[in-house]
Amino acid sequence: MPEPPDLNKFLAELTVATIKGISEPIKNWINEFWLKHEYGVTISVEESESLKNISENEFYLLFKKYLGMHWSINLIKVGIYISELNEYGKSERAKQLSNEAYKKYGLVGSRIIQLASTGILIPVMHYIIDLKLNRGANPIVLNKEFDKILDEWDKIAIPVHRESQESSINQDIEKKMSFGYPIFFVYGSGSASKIAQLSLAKMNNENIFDNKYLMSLKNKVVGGIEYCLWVFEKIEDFEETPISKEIKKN
Amino acid sequence: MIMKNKYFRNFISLSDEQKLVLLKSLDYDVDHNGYIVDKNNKKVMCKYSNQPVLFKNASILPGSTVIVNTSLITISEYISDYLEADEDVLDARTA
Repeated sequence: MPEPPDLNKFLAELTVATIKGISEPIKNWINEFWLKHEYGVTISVEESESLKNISENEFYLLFKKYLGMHWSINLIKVGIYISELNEYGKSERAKQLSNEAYKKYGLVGSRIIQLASTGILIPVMHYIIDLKLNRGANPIVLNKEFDKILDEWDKIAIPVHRESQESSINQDIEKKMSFGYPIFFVYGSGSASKIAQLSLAKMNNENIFDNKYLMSLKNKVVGGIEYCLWVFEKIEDFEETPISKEIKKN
Repeated sequence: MIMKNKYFRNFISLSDEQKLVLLKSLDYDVDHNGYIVDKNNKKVMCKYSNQPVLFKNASILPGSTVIVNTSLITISEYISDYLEADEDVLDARTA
């Protein structure tokens, strides 16, 4: 797409001024142009444009609308960007950003980048959106639910890898169930998601979850790779959301 | 409350020389240590990283002029504050 004439003139005026110095008319013109608020100067154009595109994405906007004010919103955009990078195999940048996120937002901040790096951030966001759409959860409940997921991710999530054995997946799930977590997750991508799918289908056929946990799947397919997140919600807590029951009690 | 910028088109890059002209035209300068200073010779602080802004790492953003240390996180914060749709716009879109 050709650049608008004003931008070309702006760049030309800047270049002339680097050679001839900043005359008053040039300074005035540059100021006038700047006050139109049309362009931002950055050393990282591609990434900034990617973030801007994400900020205009309907899915992100829906998540933001339902979640309301939440400390993580700025990181969510970064997380979605990381997910996109990851899908193209650029995982190095994810490591750098995880450190930056940790510096500013602590462990829960780097957790968002961790979820994004494993391709599971968007399915988790789907879970939050569905709590609003299917059960009318309000922003306070959604905020607390999302915070709890981030805080306790290591305790409540079971990653499935390519080399995971069916028996160990079953064992991990049964441990979570016997511990009585109100919610837990199983996740995996590509061939790992197939292994998880098979294990969960067998457990389901053996009625292991009956009257105990309700299982649902949030997934996305990118470039032929399926990213799966299975959500297990304890049935006795299934009034509105697991966390909302806790809030009502307090 | 920060006014959202409805006129924003794109992020662009400038050479260091062009960037310096822009800064000087907006009454900023760069000190001998490479930090951006205002017309009172005070170091400009990045509102998101709370650190003085180094010229080589600076983004100069409209609103009216927001100078930040560039990282994906500070740019994301800028977008949230200045460019992203407000809740009333989202309400209208999803109504």
